[in-house]
Amino acid sequence: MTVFPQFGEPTRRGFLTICALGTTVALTGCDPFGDEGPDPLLGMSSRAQGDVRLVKDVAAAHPTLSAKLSDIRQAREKHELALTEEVRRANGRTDRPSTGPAPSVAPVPPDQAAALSLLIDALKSSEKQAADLAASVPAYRAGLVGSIAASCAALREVLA
Amino acid sequence: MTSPSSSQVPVPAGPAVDAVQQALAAEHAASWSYGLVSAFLGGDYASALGKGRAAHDDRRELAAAMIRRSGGQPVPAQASYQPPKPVTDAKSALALVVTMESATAAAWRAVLERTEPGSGLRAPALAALTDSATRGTRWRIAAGVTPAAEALPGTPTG
Repeated sequence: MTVFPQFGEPTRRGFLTICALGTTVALTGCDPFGDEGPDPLLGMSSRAQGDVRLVKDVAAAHPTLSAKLSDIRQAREKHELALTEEVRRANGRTDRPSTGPAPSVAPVPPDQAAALSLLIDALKSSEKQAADLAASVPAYRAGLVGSIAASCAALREVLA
Repeated sequence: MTSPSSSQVPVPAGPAVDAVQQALAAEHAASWSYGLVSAFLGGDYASALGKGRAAHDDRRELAAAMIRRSGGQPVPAQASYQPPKPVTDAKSALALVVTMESATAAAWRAVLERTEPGSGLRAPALAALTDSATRGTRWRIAAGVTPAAEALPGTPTG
C-alpha cells in the first residue's frame, strides 16, 4: 500500500510563486483602467452582484426555496469578494473598485419553476462569461476565474 | 471509450508538465477509489459510480496522452492507495468519493494556473475542473455535506 499522492504542497508553493510573478506584472504593465480598458474581472464581479440580488429576490418571492438558495447566495458573494480583492490587488487600490452601474435584475416570476429557471439561466450565463475569460487571462488569474466558472456549473446541481 | 487522437491532444510545456502529471496521479487515485467504494454503496449509486469512474478513466487517458506528446513518461497507477480515512461503510465510502472529487478539481485547477493562454490546455483543464466540481456537488448532496457546492472548487485553502 502506498499513500495518496500529496497534491497540496506543490500546488501551494507553485501558487505562491505564480502570485509573486503576477504582482510584478501588475506593477509594471497591467493598469486595468489604462489604455487596455477596464479590468475584465470587473464584468465578472458585476455579474456576481447581479446573481446575489436575483437569488435574494427569488428567496423573498418563494420562501420555501430559501434553504437551497442560501448556498447559491453565499457562493456568489464569495466570488464577488474574491474578484474585488484580485482587482484591487492588481491595481494597488485600497478602495472598492467601481463595477459601474448596478446590474439590472429581471423581475421574479410568481411561478416557482419559472423563478428557478430564471436563476439557472443566470448561472449558465455567469459560467459562460467566466469560462470565456478563463481562456485568455494570465496564468496567475486562470485558477480563480476557472474555479468560479466551475462553481457556477456546480451550483446548478443544488437547484436540480 | 476511445483514446483521444493525438492531433486533438494539447502539449504541456514548462511547469504545466508537472501539473498534468499530478492531475494524472489524482485521476489514477480517483478511479481506484470509485472501484473501492462500489463494495460499500448499494444499487442506488451503481449508475453514478459507473459514470464517475468512466469520467475519471477518460481524464487519465487524456492526461497520459498529454504527457506522452510532451515527450515524458506518464506516471503509472499504483497497485493500491491508502484512503485518508478508512472506508468501512456507506458513509465513509461517500466521504472518500467527495474527497477524491475535490482532489481532482484541485489538480486540474493547478494545471490552469500553470498554462499560458493559447496553449490548448486551458479548455481541457477547465472542463475537468468543472466536471469534478459538478459531480462532487452531487456526491456532497448524497453525503449530506454542507455547503453542497464549494464556492471556489479546487482552491488550495478551500
